[in-house]
Amino acid sequence: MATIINADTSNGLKLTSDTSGDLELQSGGTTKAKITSSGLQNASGSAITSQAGKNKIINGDMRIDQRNGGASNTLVGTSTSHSTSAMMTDRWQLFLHGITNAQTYQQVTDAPAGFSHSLKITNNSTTQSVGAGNALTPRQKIEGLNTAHLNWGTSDAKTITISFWVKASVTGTYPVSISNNAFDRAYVSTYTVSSANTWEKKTVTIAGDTSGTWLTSNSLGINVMFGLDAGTNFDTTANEWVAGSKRSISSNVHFVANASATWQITGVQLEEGTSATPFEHLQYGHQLALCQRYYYQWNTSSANNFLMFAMGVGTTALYGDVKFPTTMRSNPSSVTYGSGWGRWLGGALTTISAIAIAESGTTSVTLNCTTTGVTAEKMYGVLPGGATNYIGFNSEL
Amino acid sequence: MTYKKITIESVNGANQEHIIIDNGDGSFTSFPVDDTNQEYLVWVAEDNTPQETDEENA
Repeated sequence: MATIINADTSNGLKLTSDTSGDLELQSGGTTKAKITSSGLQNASGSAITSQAGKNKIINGDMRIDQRNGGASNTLVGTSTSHSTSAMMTDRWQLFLHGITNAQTYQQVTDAPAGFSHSLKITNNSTTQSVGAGNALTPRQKIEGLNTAHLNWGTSDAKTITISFWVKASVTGTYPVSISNNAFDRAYVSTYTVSSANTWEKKTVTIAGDTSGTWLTSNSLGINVMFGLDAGTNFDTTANEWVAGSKRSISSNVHFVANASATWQITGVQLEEGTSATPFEHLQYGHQLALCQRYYYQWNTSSANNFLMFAMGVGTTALYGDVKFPTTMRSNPSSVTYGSGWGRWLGGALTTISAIAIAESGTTSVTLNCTTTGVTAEKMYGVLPGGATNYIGFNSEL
Repeated sequence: MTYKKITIESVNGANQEHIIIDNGDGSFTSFPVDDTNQEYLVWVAEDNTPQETDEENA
């Protein structure tokens, strides 16, 4: 037992004392917090520690959309054996294998109270019955450095709770699954959409995996997957750890079998513990910086906004550095840019036909720009050639 | 979506090969031909094959 301090609407303050040395704080007779010899605890007995950074999901409220800026995009497989993926709102990847029905994804402003944005996926107006090995999976890959404290793969593995808001046009049971980097450990839980086209909050608690290999480096630590459709190869038994690549159960909704079906999600939080706590609303700048560890996009503010100054080498190459605003997860593996780039040394722009990463680092890259008419050792401005151009550096998992 | 392979000179003077993909939406993506580069490995896994320099491929 414990000494109880209870506040309710009948008695006001009620004190029930004992000699246990423990203290419980109650509201209306329900325990909200405890102080024991182990320290401050929540109602479930889990330690209450600093809440800052509790959410291991980045951009769970879908506010950051560097790549698409709120525009819709479509992902589709070219055959029933084709795998492909695309980044939607920052950190959120849409993976599909063998889904030939086009899937549209978009950051939208339809969101439950307390949120400003959600991520929306819309199935094509045609339908597809997925094959055994096919899958459609929105997911976020969490870096191992951010999940190391969970001690997964050891006897001290910590329990996690995933909470989120979902709105879907198709009612029924959907999977939430976890896998490791090697996709040889999996846990599939489920949630039920009860009312079509209505925001509903869902919570899933998963006991940590005491087996398997869970990376704690800057590689993939925990893969959080919200399956929308999957073939029988991915089915398993719900709510238990299994070996292999699993992400669904046999009774799950088949999203792509429903013409123009929609599914939206926001407020996604993955935290240590057995219960969900309120969503951690980060300041925008903080959240943007967290996203930029994985993808940094430079957007021009005008046609005259220099990306960098670059030195001429030979007659066709320029070399210049771009510094990143935050240290990236790893050396960027690719660069994506719009059309229209040019070199400038007074007068008109001369076209830059290709941009490539000559040297890659986590705090800057040296870019090689292919162009013409270069004078060696002269410095040139690299300009976007328009008021809406961009260049993005990818270090996603 | 089309792509080409270009060769550039790295800062240390060695030649580097890069894939330049025309994404078909006015954007381009480039990455080095490098078996340790995740982007390149994913691209190859999607049944793409690096071709000779400057050859366009469907």
